[in-house]
Amino acid sequence: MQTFFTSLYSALISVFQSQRPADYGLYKTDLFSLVGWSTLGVSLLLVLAFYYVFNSALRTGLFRTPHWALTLALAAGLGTFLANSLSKSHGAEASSYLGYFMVVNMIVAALWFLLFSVLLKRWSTYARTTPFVGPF
Amino acid sequence: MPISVSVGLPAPRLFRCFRLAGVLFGTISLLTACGSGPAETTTSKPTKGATAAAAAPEMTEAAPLRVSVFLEYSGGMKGFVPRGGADKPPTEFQQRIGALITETQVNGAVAERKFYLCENAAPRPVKFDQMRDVVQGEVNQAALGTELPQMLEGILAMPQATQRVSVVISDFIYGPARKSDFSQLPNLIRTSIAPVSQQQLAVAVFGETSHFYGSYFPAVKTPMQKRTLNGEKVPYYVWVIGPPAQVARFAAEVFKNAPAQQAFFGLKATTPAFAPLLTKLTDPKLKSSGGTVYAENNGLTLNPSDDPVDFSVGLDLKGLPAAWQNSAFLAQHLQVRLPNGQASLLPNSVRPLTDDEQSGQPVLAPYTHVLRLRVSKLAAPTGTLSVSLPAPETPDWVAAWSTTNDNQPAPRTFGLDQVLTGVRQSYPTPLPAVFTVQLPLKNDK
Repeated sequence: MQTFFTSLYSALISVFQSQRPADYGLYKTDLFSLVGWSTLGVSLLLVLAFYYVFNSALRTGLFRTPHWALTLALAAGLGTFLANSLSKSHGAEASSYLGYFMVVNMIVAALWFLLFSVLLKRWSTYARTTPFVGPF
Repeated sequence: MPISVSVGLPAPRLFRCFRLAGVLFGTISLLTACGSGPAETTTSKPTKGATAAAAAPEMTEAAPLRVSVFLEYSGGMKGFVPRGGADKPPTEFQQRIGALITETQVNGAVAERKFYLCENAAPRPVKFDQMRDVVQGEVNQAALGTELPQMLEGILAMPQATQRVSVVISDFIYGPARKSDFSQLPNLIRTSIAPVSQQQLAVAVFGETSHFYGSYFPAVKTPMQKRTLNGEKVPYYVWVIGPPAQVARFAAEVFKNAPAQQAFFGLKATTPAFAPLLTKLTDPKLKSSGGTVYAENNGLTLNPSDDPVDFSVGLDLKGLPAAWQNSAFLAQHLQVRLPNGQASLLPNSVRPLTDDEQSGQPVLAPYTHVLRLRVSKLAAPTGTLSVSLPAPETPDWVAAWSTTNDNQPAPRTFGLDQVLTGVRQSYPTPLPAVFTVQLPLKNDK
């Protein structure tokens, strides 16, 4: 998984900046997998919360697409925050590379959220068709 | 966001809620289990990327020095040590050598010290006080003296002389009694210091002129056998002979106020602490620039294909003699090599670190100097960059201080160049490098 996260993030960040920073070794050995796992976990938790807590266990009426979109925005925001705070706390220096890492992780968090939504929405009681119907 | 909480659920729906909640908690616990597992292993691993740049230097404590000081005390040396007084300033010899033997006596780097007077027989052990008395001119009698090769041979024949640092203080005037010996000066010296050849000991030579009051015995005996000098300046020398790392340490830590004229033969420093400095630097001038470069697996991964990569490295050179710690000297002599690639030392980039920098930035603390390297090409997937300090050849002052006729006293010594040629011939050509440090490189492709 570490290799997966490293290649995923390296490839996506290199769209913005091809030059790697002096502390890239830290990203490679620690940050990409740490932030990758955390982001994946947070997205999954938000998906579970949206579909199975607020729209199955509780009947909150928060099943509409704008609600879903707001939760997605929350996932994306948390992705940015996680990339920043985890990197800083592990000794990464403030750099443009870290900035692009935050941007990329925002997108990645949103993508995880979308993916888990599509996979898990069918077992939700009230939000089975949020944000769209299908594919299964 | 409007939140409507439904109150009073029908019983079947309530059960389904609990079932769903159970599923939910199960999933969450499963998720945290597999999510936190890898995260923990990555954090518990040493953060390679950050620390490789500041790789811990080898903290090998240098072995304590064992020093023997030999002072030639013959008639020809007596003029360096006049009995002074409040109205007579001490000679340069008295100041310098007085400081040197005192430092040898009290310095913490010296574990064991012995003092000897070299008269006409084997070196005679004396106490520190006695040697100090000689240096300050408190002793009257002086011996006839021996010829230089015999003196050196006797010193290196002392028990364990090759494992100790031998400090020889003399005027090094060598006028052989047999006229035929003059043709063989370098070879005679080389033979007399045979252990230097055989065990590749290092020889450090320090020269200084000093006021001289008394009988001066030149090597060339015509027209005058001896002259009486009254304050003219003539040279004397301090030779430090011993295992290379110990000689370097003695020169750096004990003979700190050495005179400017210095020559080193066969000197090798223990591999100095060395590492690229990439992260945790506050000075923007030290930060890397150009293409990609980052630390990985105790080496560097870099990509110089677009822009040449510049980065700073730290070196701990406190084991070198003071003259070799000079930035200009280092900039001139340091060699950077990268097979299958191109690397260079950036001009004007060698500088000593200030105390503020060393204490203010932990990453700089282990080093005394920084220099900036540029890698402009790396053709192979991997390479090894090496920085070495080739030993300088005999310095120019030696020729300037040599003469072929010393009958008329001058700040020159008879045959000094030939004597030191004998020393030089004890080592291979070219002289082995003083130190070499290496840095593995990997191409970032």
